[in-house]
Amino acid sequence: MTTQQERRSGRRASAARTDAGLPGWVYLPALIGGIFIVLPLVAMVARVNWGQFWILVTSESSVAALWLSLKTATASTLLCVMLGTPMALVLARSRFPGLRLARSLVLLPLVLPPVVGGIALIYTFGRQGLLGGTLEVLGIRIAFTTAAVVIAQTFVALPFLVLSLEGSLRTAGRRYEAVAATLGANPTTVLRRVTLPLVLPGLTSGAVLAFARALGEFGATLTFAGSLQGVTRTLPLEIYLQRETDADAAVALSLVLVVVAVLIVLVTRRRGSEGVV
Amino acid sequence: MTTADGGAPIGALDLAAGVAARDVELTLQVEPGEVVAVLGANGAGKSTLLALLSGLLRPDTGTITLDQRVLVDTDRGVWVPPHRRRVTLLAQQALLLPHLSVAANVAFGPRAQGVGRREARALADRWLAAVDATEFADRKPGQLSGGQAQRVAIARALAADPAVLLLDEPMAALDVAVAPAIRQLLRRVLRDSGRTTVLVTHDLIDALSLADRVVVLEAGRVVESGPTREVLSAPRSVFAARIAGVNLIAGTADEHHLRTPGGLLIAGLLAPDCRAGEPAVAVFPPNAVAVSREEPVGSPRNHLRVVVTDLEPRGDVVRVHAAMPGGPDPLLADITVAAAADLGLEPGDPVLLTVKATGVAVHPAT
Repeated sequence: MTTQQERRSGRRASAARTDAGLPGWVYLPALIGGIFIVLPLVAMVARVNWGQFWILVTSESSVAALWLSLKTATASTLLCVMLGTPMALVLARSRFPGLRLARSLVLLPLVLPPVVGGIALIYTFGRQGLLGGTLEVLGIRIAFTTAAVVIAQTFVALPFLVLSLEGSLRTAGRRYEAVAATLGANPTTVLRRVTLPLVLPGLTSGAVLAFARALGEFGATLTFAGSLQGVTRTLPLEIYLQRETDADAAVALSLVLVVVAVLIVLVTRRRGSEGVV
Repeated sequence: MTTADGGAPIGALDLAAGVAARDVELTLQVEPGEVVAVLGANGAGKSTLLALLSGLLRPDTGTITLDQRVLVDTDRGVWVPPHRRRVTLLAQQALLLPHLSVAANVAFGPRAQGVGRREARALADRWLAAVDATEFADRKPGQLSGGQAQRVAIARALAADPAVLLLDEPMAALDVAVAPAIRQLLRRVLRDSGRTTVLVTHDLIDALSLADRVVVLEAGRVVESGPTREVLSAPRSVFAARIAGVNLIAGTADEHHLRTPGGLLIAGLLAPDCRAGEPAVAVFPPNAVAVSREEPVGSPRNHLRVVVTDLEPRGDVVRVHAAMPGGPDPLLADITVAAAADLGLEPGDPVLLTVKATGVAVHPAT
């Protein structure tokens, strides 16, 4: 009885504390920050030429760019899931010397300027690159092809998936896996029937974030893959190009990307947005 | 239930292992079908013992064998991973897989061991029936209460057909009102399946009602081991003395009493899972016992004629050790120093011990 009473009054006290905590002046810079994010979007929407909107976004080059963006972003998201899931598992579940270093290296593309990433990719997969000679012998050319776009996008998007999934794996913990193992499940069965189903929300939101990052990729793509219509010119590249000649088209296409971004934010929010990002 | 090698009893366990980082050095032998309760304070090494047995922790030194199989031998580099041990863990939390139905949870062990879908489902249904949880088969674990989930977890552990069952305080996280029913269920399934069981617990009642033998751990070592009632009524280790040091009288239950083999009736409060005619034990603390030289007046129901065997000063109180003539169970009574002086007790004196019926708890025993 006493403990219950104590617990109840304790809860009331903590509720009161959250109400009292924030000094009033904090709201002003917070509001300025919020306006800073929303105002440019409003400004852009205000500039949209609604009469021409449909014609602009369905022009041949726009459709080609949009279609290429969707294809490449989907492909690189699949690559991120296939490579990033094992990476997150290793980072979250295994122990070996240099694990912390490995985690820092995996996150490098997150903080690296995309242009630098593109340069690094040229010297890896380009004709004069580290693997270029070998690939040339095999008859594979990557630089300035659609494959290069996918590689560039995967390079920059991979850390998003790894981070998000690793966070989910740590939150989920190992207790379910331990019990499953003592019930006779081998490690592969545990992974397939316990671990992955438990972190599926984290994997999904990680994949959505990776898709968003891939869709918006610009610097590494331009540097490593160039800007050929229908081959490597994705939507962000098309927008940048149109801005010089046809500002209305650039604004219209930008609005398309904003809508996609808003959808992505909504999807990940509803998923409970596990993980870090 | 479990047969291997033509029905030979299985589940003989032999462990001698050390974990340097936790300063643990343990030895444990368990007979096939035996239920051993492991008692000890937090950090005494109970969890380490279970982790070693289940294969979730590698010892630095030592061997673990289960029947003829060497599970661990650090000298020869033998290591059998958890999923090949047939040692199943039931934890405090039910840990049912939230994305699977109750039936699929119970079928998980058999499925993982290669049993076909239909046969695994039949096994699951049978075990769910055995724990009275058939009605939950199609629910998701999120729709179960703590007690219901633990029932299902027991079914899941047994459906995996383990050679050794590890129970890690299986009642500790449950509501006080639910725990007796789960304890009763465990009594039933452990007795029916005759499965080797290692039960880690804090609770005297768990040990009394489930275990054949008690092992007490202190600072990573086994300090005491023996038949449950012996250890709990005459504890030699500090921990056992703290949780035990109680009076235990064995017998069989009837409607409102415990009947000793000598025919004595002890009135008490019977636990709900006591069945008339079944083995039971009466438990009462030494401070519930009054000592007198003559027949007392008043309501106390239990009068035991005993002979004082020893007097032990314990600060403010004197602990009177006494024995019933012909009774093997030693009895303890704590009285004040002043009372002891008034009575002028000496070893060898015949006295009368009086206990109120409400001070006596009668529990089913193994």
